[in-house]
Amino acid sequence: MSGGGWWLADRVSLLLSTEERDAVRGDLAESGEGGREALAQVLGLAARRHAAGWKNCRPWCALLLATGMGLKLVRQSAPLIHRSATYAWMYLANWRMADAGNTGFRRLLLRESAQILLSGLLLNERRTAKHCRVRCGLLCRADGA
Amino acid sequence: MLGEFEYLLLSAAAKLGENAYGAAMRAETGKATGKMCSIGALYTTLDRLEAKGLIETWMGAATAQRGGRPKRMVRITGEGRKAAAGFYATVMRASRGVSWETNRAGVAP
Repeated sequence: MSGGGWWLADRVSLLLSTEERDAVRGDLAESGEGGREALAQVLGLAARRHAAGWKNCRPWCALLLATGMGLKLVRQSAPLIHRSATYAWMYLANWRMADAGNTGFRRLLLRESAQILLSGLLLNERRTAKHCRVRCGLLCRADGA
Repeated sequence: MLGEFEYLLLSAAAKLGENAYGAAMRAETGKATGKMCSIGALYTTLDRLEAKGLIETWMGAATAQRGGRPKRMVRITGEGRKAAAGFYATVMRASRGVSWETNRAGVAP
């Protein structure tokens, strides 16, 4: 039981339950399989075990939900990323130590940093909602016209 | 109704008796079919048979031959024997009068 194939088979067998892992490794050792064959056997079993979890509808529902939410998240965060990146670049590219002494500049920097941080954490729901309302309004107007 | 591979495993378990475990059953089905089954097919089918109540499995003792790893021991239950006997009887009934059954003596080994 040595060689790259066996080492990989050992790593892949970590996907199995402890009891099954021991039984499978023992069976493979007893039947004198080579490293590559052992790896193929363990991979096959691990794939079957994981595929079995997809036989009912729950994981599919979770996948659909996660995909839908992920797409929504991407759409909502795109304008936010744009704005945050622009402000971050503006501050970093035009940074002068002399500005730091200016109270107005400091206040503005603090406000913008907080805005970037908060909007990053809360995904700027209010802004997105406002955008949605504006878009809906524009669409309604376009329909009306 | 059993599947073909389920029947093969039940037969192997019945034949091996107290010595029925993963590697031995794999070798036994290999002898019967001429081709070794995969470990994946073996263990997932054992799980299915156990869920149906046709076999019982438990972890056995470790041996040096297996690198100190334990065996998954298998025992056929009464229900399992009944199901296997039923499958065999069905196959025998279904095979009566078909060409490969009637010409069996003439088939070259």
